[in-house]
Amino acid sequence: MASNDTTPSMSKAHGTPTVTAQGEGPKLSRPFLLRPEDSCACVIFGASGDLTSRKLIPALYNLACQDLLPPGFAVIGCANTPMHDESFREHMCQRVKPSPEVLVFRQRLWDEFVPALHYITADFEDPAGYQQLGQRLSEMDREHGTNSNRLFYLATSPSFYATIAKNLAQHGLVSRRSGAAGWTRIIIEKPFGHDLESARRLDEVIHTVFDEAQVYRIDHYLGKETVQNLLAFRFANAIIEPIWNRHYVDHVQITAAEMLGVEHRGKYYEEAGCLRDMFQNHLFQLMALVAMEPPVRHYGQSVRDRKADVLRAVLPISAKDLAEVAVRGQYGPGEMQGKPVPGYRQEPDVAPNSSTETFAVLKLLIDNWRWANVPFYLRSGKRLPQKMTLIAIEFKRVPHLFFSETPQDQIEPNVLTIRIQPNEGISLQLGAKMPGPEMYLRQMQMNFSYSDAFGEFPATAYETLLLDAMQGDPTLFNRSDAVELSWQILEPVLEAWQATRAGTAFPNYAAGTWGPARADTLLARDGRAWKNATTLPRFYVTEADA
Amino acid sequence: MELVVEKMDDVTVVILPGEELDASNTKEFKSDMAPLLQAQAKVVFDLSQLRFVDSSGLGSFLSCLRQLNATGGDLKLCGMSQRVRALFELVRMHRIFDIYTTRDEAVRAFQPERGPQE
Repeated sequence: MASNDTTPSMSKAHGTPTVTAQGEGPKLSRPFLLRPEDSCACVIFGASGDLTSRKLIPALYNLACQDLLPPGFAVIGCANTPMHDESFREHMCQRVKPSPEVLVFRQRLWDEFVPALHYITADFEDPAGYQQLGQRLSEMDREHGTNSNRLFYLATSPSFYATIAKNLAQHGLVSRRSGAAGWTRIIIEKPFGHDLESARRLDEVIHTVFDEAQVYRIDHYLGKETVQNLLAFRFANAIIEPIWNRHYVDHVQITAAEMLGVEHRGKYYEEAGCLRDMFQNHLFQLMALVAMEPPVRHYGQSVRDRKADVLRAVLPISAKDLAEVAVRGQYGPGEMQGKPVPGYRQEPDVAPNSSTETFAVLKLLIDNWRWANVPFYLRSGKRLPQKMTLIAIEFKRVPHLFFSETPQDQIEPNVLTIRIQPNEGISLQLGAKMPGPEMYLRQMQMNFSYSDAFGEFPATAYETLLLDAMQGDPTLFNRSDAVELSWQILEPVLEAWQATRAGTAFPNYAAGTWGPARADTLLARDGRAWKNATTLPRFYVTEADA
Repeated sequence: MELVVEKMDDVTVVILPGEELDASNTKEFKSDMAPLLQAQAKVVFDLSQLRFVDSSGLGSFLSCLRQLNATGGDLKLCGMSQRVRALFELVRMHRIFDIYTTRDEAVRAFQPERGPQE
């Protein structure tokens, strides 16, 4: 059993231990987590879906393995697919056993965890389902001691979000006050809205049922260790902050590249496209973390306030500048790892003349004191040669070419690369003299690798985020204003691209290449180039990422 | 890293030689273990000489357990000092591993009727 004698008292769910066992020796650098005090019932709407078995239940099982679920914790899965408790448990067991998301599958730990799983078959639009849910929740309160603490998780199609919220309220399953009578929180998966107007409409409905403080809009990117480490990197290292501004930074690149095509998500993707799928949430959140001012605290509203400030400061994109600052693309047939793959228009559930973008680039300017005239280039796409999410911060070149009398006629700028995934880590590109009589400089990398430093803990982002929601910590979740601001930034681009169908201009890049030529031209016009495999060969190996 | 490997029936016991397993030698430990994990299914790590293990060392144990688990094998730990045990508890890994006081107990636990000690 866990002993508490080595665990320092903390007021927050996550912290960095300042003591080690027996108070001596090197410090453990992995943040530790504390178990939530309040028991609760987690109701997962859409429990027969992919997200539940692939991410949510493995994450909850991992938390159970680490004794991080509150005592009496219960899950009620809720979906249309007919199942009962036992068949739901069996189905989850079959999916969790081989899952790469679990720390390790241990039958004894699964046997301890599985009684927490329950299931009701319910249509989200049928009041009978909510009556049944109410009865099961009361049972949980009696049998598990969940004390009317309810965490609702919307893992359904977004078209059900408003319906579920309204029904929960109508059946008395939501308490707007937290206290002795229990708390209610709701986790909402992306996409939150389809555009600015629909996001506002959804917010209106949600806010008739829940206070904003009860709403947890989840973006699993924000739960990733490497994303959270952005805060540590920026604000726990005194040498970083003085150079983190327009005086030293030339530009910032944020890339989220996928090797996969649209797979079986053609129907969803046709409606969404790359901007909605990746920019509105993941890329804008990464940009906000890179660009934000130092928050006062690392939890609560402080970080969210500073992130919202960044989004508020983004200069609006005007229709006349669109061609200069935005590029869209769609993959055609090509080759991935030597094998032929179809183009987007040949994928299942995709229109043969689809104008949906599978690739996009935006050049954004953040109009504030820190970042004036420092471009942020954001890029994402499917069927690119490598899977990689990275932030590259290129610094300005040295002002004086000290080596002008030598064979060295150019000095490359320093580049700080933050690898979000895979091969998580940070590297700094520096110029160094090559050994020999002449003054030749070569670029070398100072590298920090997560796996070397911290070992291989396959913790999923969902563990962190589920635990935070149980603890009532909203720091890593998206707030209403940030969601709206993100849609506001995208709105002119979405409208323009909607208005002008791509037609024969698509496809404009072959699967397995780095997107349309215009993506390179956009940077080349500014005298810059993308950081790709050619500049970062050591860290991104395609075979490992397939 | 000079791993001492002993065979007790069909169980392979690996005695970790150093007092510390941390970022400085975890890579070596993992590469030394790789061929052994491919060939063996029942493995015990005897940690009685170990005085300190950091998160990269703990991660390497987890990695070994995952590899064995994936092929139907298992890993059990024994001989943990109080301090190393406390480090496991600090990062909440103590429930994931089957931990025994002595090597004999760990080896015997591979018999189907025996479970981990509490």
